[in-house]
Amino acid sequence: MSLDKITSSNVWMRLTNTEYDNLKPDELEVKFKSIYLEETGELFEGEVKIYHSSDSKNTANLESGYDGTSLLISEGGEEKLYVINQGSVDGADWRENIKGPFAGKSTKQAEATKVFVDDSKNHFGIEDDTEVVSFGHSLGNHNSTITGIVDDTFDEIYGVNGLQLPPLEVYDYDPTFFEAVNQHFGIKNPDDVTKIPSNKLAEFTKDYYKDSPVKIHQKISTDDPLFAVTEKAGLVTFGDVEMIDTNPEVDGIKNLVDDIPDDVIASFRDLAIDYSVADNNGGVNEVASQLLGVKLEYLEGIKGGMDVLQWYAFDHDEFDETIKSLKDNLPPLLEKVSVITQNADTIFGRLYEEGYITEDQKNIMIKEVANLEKDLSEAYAAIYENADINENLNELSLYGDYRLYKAFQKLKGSFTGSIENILNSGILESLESIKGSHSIEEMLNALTGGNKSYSGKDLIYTTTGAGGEPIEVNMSAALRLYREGALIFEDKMSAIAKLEKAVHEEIQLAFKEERKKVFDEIYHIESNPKGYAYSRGWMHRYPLYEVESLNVMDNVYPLERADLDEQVYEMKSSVDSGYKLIEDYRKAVEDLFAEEEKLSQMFDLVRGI
Amino acid sequence: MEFTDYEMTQIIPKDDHSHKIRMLKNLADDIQSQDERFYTLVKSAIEGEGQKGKIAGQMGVATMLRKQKEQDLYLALKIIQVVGNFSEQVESNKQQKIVIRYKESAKIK
Amino acid sequence: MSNGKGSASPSEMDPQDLPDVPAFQNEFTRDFLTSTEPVREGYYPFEAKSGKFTMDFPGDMNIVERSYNKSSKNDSEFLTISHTDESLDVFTNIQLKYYGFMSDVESTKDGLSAKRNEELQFQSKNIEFEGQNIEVADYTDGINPGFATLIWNDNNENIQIFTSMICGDNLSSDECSKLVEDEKERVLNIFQSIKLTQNEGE
Repeated sequence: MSLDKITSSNVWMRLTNTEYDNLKPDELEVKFKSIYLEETGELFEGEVKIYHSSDSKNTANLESGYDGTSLLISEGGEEKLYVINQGSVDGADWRENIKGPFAGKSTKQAEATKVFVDDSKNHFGIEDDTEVVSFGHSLGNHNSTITGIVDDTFDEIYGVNGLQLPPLEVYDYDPTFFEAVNQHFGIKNPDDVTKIPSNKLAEFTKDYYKDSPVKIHQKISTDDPLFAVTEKAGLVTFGDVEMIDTNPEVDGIKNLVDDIPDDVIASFRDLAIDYSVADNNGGVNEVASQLLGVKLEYLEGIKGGMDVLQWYAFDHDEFDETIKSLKDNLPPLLEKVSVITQNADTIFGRLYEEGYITEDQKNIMIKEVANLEKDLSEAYAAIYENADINENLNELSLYGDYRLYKAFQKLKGSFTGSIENILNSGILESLESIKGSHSIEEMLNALTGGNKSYSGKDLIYTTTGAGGEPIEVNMSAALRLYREGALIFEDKMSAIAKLEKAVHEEIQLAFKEERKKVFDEIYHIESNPKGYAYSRGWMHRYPLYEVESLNVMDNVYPLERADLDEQVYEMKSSVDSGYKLIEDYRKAVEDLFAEEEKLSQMFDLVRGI
Repeated sequence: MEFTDYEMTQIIPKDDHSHKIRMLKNLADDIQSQDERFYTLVKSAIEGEGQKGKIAGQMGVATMLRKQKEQDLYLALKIIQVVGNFSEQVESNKQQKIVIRYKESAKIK
Repeated sequence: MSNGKGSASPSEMDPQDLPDVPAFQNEFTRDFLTSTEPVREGYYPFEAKSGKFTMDFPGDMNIVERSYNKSSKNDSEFLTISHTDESLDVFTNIQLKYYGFMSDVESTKDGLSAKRNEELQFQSKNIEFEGQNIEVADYTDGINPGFATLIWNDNNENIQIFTSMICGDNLSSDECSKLVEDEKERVLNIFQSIKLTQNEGE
């Protein structure tokens, strides 16, 4: 066994995919060992130490939005540092993070990657020459490639559907490259770098770094939309690249992208990014408000012209915020939408031809995109004519409210209506398949043949049932059940034992104690009758008589009806049947896949994780 | 002269034992949370199966899970009952009938 | 900021009233300058947007907007500073990065060497600010002459700078070398004016 299996199999891709779940270190370690077992049939017996970027203060201070995990893995005298660079992160910065590289403005993520690797080495206290391997998907690959080729941060880089290298970023990141570009293209002023044709700059970049010692291995789906725009955006691909057709049903989005003019791609890309962010957060209103930068609830209450004035008068801040956002957001949105409208026939026509969308969907899109453009430009005109913002005083003056009212009505009614029609057409679900081709899951499935496949982050085995119907078994879940089931039953047994002990102490022993107190008291009373009788006021209850003796009738019974014996017995048998159940489950799975030699071994080993 | 009298006497003060319910229930909760862990685990395995959990169905998984749930519920009730019985018996032991024997005072003579 | 003659900051002034030098005529650069009153001839007071350092900014240079970057917590700020007049005998580009943190001085220097692909030999220079250090290393290799600079203080704040100079095509290599030496001196003076301000009291 050696560390090689981590990179020679699907282990690294699944591990990278798992990193998105932000597991705690001990959970991630179990996950790593589980994946290793499922993919290799062997138990990983080496050592794993884990460090997450959120624990690295220096990485956080850069505020790049970078997210990564490093694993120091050692086995049989071999030790390597593996750094998983997370692709895109959720949250406010997500849009910028993915747009950044296209604009050449994400050097901070590369910087953060390097800082994190340096911090990881310090944290683990390892030698500088320990081999460092990067795993990355999407943006993660971009981060590691930049610092890999410039700073030699990594010895090896593995990327899946990675974002490629933007020369403009490297220009700001690598002072040596900066000079080389300036010399080669006869530039003095750094501003002029944007004037270099992107294909020329890409060509030069590729040549400049061709001798970089870092070994880069990439797997890219021919259907990955990110790959489709790579060349157009002038990004540069490094290393040995394996292209894989992960969705054989379509020809790949790249053909289509190549037919569409550059400016359209850019607009489409931005809208798509905005949409995907909005879509994660909510429905139509959310999409609309992301695109417009306006909270649509604000517009809900507007009934007529008067209400606009009232709104203006009473909710001045809200009104102000709305108008300002519209003024800021409408022009760029309008510009993007109109580029798409002008090319609607090509874009949606080609999407239809390539099999991504239906003919109906194509027609709806062409119509609704045109409607959107019309609504937006009318709203824009109305706002510009009616409301004026004095930037310095943050004050708003309002002339004539009727058209403004109409503008809001348009936005509220027609605009959201168009978006709703688009959503209802199902086109976005159809386009999901494009997004799916960017995923690690689709890549894993394309690389894995036979009866194995992947669903989410799990490994699935498929066989044919007696009736010829396919039977799928989630092998990851089955192994998890077998391993964790046993752990749970152990925990349950000890919880039952604790309860048993508590019942014994708190009920049985406690009762004995209480009973002893009673007997003690009886003894005390009987051996000290006068004193006790005085304390109770019985001594001289009758004139001329006094208490001679006291005798307690002694009605003290043993405890009954106060045990959990039956429940404890039942719970213990339920644990036994639990063990039996997971054994039976294992056997059933093994019988279904009798031809899989490693399966039985995997079940044997999984409890060693 | 002698005669006897009887007094039903609280020879030891009363106590409240309800804290034992809370204590035992916490322990029962720990058991129940293991059952819940198992439930989640089984669910993910079943959901992963095509055939809507065919293997799990044959295995009687559902029966077992239901049984566990019933056990957990019953255990909680039973704990209240057990502590109740305990308390009742402890408290009843603290009440004793005392026979008081009186005798003519010696002083009077 | 009231160290200028007028009370208005340069970014609020009418561009026509600003000194007729590239630094003020460029809107983006102007924003960093705190006064139109030169600190010495040709240099104006600069304050980083992070508020973490100040320096004497040369009136004949600009800050490149496209390359600018700053974290909102002000723990990092990246700037490229460049001449604007391409007919100058020596045209200088400065890539400057401020960080509010540093692991240690030696590995930071190693990092600079790695970026240059050469073993940089750092030498200490004078700096008048207490608790602050400056070291520079001339390039011995590469396309253009220039030098790397590391400024740091006891608080682990540091500034990493790569400076390169391009000679005009009409210059002989001897003339170029001589002019580059003068330019290095000039740029070093700017760097020696850099003051990490975080430790100062209010």
